[in-house]
Amino acid sequence: MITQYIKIAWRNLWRNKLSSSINIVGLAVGLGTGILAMLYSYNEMNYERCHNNANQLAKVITYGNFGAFRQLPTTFPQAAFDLPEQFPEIKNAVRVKRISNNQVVVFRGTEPILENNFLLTEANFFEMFTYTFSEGRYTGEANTIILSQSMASKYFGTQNPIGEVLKIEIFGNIFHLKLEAIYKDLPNNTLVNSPAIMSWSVAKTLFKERRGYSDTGFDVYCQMLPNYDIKKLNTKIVADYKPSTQLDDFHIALMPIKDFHLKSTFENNSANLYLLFIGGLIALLIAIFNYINQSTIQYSMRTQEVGIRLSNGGGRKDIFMQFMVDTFLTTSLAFGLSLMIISTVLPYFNQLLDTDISLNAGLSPKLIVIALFGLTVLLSGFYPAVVMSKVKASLLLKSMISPNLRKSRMRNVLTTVQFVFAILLLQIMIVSQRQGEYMFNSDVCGFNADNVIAINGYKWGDLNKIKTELLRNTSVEAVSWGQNMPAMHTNMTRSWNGPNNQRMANIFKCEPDFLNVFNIEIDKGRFYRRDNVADRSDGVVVNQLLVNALAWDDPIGKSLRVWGQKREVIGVVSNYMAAPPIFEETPLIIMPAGNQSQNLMILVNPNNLKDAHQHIELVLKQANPNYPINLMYYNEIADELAKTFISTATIVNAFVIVIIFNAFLSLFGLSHFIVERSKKQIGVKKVMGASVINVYWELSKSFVIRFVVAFAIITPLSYLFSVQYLSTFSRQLPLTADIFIQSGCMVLVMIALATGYKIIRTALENPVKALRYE
Amino acid sequence: MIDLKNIFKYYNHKSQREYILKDINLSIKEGEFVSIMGPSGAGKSTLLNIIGLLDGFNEGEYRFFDTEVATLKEKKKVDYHRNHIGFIFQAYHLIDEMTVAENIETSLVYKGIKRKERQAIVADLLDRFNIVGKKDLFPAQLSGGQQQLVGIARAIASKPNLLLADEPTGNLHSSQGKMIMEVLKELNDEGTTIIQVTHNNVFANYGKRIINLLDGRIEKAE
Ligand SMILES: Nc1ncnc2c1ncn2[C@@H]1O[C@H](COP(=O)(O)OP(=O)(O)OP(=O)(O)O)[C@@H](O)[C@H]1O
Ligand SMILES: [Mg+2]
Repeated sequence: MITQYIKIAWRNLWRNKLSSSINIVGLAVGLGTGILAMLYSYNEMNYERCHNNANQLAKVITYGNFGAFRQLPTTFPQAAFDLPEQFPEIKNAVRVKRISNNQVVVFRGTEPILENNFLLTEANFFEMFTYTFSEGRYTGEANTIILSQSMASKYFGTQNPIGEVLKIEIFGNIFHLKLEAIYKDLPNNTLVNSPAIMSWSVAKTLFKERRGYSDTGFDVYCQMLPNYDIKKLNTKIVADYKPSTQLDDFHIALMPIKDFHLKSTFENNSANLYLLFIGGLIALLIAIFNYINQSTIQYSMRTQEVGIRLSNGGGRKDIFMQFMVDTFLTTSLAFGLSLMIISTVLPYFNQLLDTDISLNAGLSPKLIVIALFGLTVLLSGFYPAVVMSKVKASLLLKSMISPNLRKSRMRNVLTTVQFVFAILLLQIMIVSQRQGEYMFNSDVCGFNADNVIAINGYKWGDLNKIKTELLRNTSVEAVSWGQNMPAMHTNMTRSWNGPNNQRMANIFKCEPDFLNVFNIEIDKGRFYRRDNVADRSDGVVVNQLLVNALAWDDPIGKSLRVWGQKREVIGVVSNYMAAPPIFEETPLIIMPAGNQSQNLMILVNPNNLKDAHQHIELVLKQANPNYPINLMYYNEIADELAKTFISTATIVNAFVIVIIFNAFLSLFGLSHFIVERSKKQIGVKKVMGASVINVYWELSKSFVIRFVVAFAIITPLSYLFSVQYLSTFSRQLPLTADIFIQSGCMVLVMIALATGYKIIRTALENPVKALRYE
Repeated sequence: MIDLKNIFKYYNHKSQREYILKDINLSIKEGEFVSIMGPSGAGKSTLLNIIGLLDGFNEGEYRFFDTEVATLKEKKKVDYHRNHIGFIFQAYHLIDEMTVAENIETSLVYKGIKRKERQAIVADLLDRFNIVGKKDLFPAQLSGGQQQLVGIARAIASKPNLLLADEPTGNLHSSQGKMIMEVLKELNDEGTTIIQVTHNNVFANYGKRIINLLDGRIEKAE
């Protein structure tokens, strides 16, 4: 019986190619989105599972008042000694240092290569975390290194590299490290993922403070006895353990590493997780809605078949089963297609979200995928199958059965709901996109970073000399260096307005021409100049907000105590966006930097980029041949820094597109069906003298009305939502009516496109043909 | 075998009640061949539906094989459709997506008969109606008469005692119609009870009894 159902379902699919493909493609896109979202969620919720002891491991985090932050994901190294000593539950602790921000230079032969995220650890690290060594043996002796497999093949190809020596430069120190062992690459979902791990002796050279309390930049991991109680232990630590520092309100606590990724406040991972989880489910549900909508329409053509089957002894259950099999077949095809879509999209997805999700990674992901498939079959098939199993057999014996499109409230509601979603999502997308553009429009943010190249400023000696060399070429327009770049970095201080000041100010150091590189306006006075030594030793530049904060009428010449030194205000710059947009607008203090600083910033002529690049590389190579030159534009760095923000936005946009695509498909299918059903009617009307426009309006009227209803329902809500959203920004996009009108027009165009083609083609057809055809 | 007493059937149209069948009294014994005649809209199809357990009625009493239909369970009805009642339709009502052979075995599949046995029955029927060559064609590839033969083959595949035919020749040329009537007659001779609806006087006379339906009432029973 089942084989017969499949056979008939297959023939039906084949006969209604258009509507079948709409169903299959729609479901495939929905399923693909759903599966990806679930796999991602699974990956996120299984952080640190690759370590056998994961349940007993925790990371030390630090609480206190650190300027803009109240918590640090790192701590001081002394914790690794004090904690196991004072608390018997803690049986092991290890200090780890991570070298990030492209600060490692590895030499392959003589070629310097920038590397990131190297770890420095002590030997007991490997008692706590699970690493599998594929070659060599780890001892942790002085001046040794171990590499991941992919790293080993990057530097040594296929040859056996054990015992080879790698030349590495970190913070200006040269190390010659012997390769001891190679470990299998860890999955992405672990905190201690790293391409290389160096022995602790390297840390001894690099960091003076490997004990004590003053450097809070260490990762300290603890291993507890089995069955410890994290809450009790943390309560004890906070109560009994006082790090000896001057800072009050300063303490540490343990966070289980399995919780760290999602529960720590340092990244918005859980926001991403919720967004993807819910977005994926909505996309899948909408695809299922569509399927239900489309298939009930298609099945209405098959009421006759049901009647025949009932009169031949088919039971309700048999009919139900048959239509479930129908859905099963469609969903299976959609499933196959969705797997193809996923395998195409996965590489981009993984890159975007920094994951390494794969379809064949173990049993559980496969079970998730299969469960989603089953769920989709059930949810999509159930309602249409029930409807069909309730068809009255007596309809059959009426001599003329024309299965017509009965007015269905369910379908009206589904279509309207879809419009509501499409409009809402579009409006949100437009608002967030415009806000992003608005914020970084140079009129609004007060600076322009186009064509600014930034590079590490410490490797090239005296930057004044470099600047002179760079400016020899006309393609280089301005050069400066400094600690912070606009809207990218921030340092907060309280030390600027007397000893009892509580108000934070943003402070950074830079050199002449900083304002020219970023095209920042100076409102009053002057900026630092190379030839003005007095300004650089005793002057200070502030922004208008600081002037307002101190209520100065005439700021030039006023004195300001910064970091304990009295300085005289020489200039006031505009309130450009100095700190990233997540910070409040704060008073700004700009100090001179000296010969070197973090960032060397070069404004180049956009018409002459190639020349500029060549010249810059030439100058820098001459200054230091041992450091790789990695020219990055400000905008590229900003994108990198805002990666989680950008990936979130990309995901939202992808969901919007998936959902709108589905709405489009279902409209297309619906209008196709309606037109097929009314071919004769169209013919008759044309014979009676109706124009194409008349016919078009008559057939698409109902969609337009539903659109208007949806628009009226959702726009006020989306307006409130947008106001809420924008209130989180300090420089807010003014909400204008055109945003909402634009989204409405987009949906209307979508409706016109989806319904127009078929209607107009039919309306243009010779009416006699349609009539004869009947 | 069929016993209708004071059967009424109506539809409620807003506030108005429209009677389709009024006070139908009819009894039909096994082995009979009955023709129902009457103008369009008289309620012939509705009556056939009720007799065939596809439609309900509002008032009256209907005994089918000595069981009261009003109290019949859905499951029992399905059983009757599988084993005791066959339908033939004016519009043939073959399933477009199934081949001739598959159409014929529809009720056999529902009965759960094994493949081998089904094939044997289908082969017999194809042979009997001389359409062996059409076995794997789809309905759209057959002439009207051939389609109706398939319809009859499907109706009698599970050897029903009662065959209900709603204008079986309505869409056919008179020569093809005659052939169909001969088949029905033959089946009746073999013992199948047949009730047919027809507009054709000649074909009505194949029946041993003619019932005239007018505006929902039985006009005269011969
Ligand atoms: N679902 C329904 N709702 C309302 N009225 C109905 C319904 N079904 C049938 N009728 C009415 O019942 C009457 C009888 O219909 P029926 O199909 O039994 O007539 P008929 O005698 O078979 O006619 P024909 O010879 O044209 O087939 C008709 O007037 C029809 O309009
Ligand atoms: Mg009729």
